[in-house]
Amino acid sequence: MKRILIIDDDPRMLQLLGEAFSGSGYHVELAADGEVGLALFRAEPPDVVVTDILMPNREGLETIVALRKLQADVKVVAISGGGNIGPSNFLRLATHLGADAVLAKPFRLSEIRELVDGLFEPQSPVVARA
Amino acid sequence: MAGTLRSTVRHALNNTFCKIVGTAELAQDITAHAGLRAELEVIIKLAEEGGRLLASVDSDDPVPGGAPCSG
Repeated sequence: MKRILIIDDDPRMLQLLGEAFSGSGYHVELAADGEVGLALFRAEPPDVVVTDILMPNREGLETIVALRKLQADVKVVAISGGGNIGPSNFLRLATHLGADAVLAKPFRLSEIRELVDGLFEPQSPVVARA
Repeated sequence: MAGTLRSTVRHALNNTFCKIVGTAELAQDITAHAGLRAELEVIIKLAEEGGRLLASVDSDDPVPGGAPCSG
């Protein structure tokens, strides 16, 4: 069973993503911010991390950098409802910092499940919808 | 300041649209009622339309002439 760590400061988003991935056969760990997420990661590294960008304590971009330092080959998906315009394009920054895939909110649960599943397929391309 | 406020509102609205979409999808998963599933799909499409409308608004630009709803 693949392990997925989901990091988002919105409790309802965590619940929805948790149910979506547990229903798809993943072992799910949930974290309300990057700080908690990194602690869970250190305790037992997952196969893939889905992280929001704008969060209190430790935001997503900083979290991605820290994850890459801890384990260079961990699969990372960045999600955000933040702006797509100008300097606030967080998802493009996330890609530059090492996210394997990005997805702008709003998205369908089926969409993010397919995206994450695709990361485990051989020679999976980087998928982006920023 | 106005650009920051609009960016914050855009972020909050996109999160809300995302939760509406996800909630409706999970509801679709737990019902076999075709009519209800169809109505939930309408909710999903409306929330997605809201996200697209929001993305089309260049909120980083100042509103020409000041307040947007002065009339």
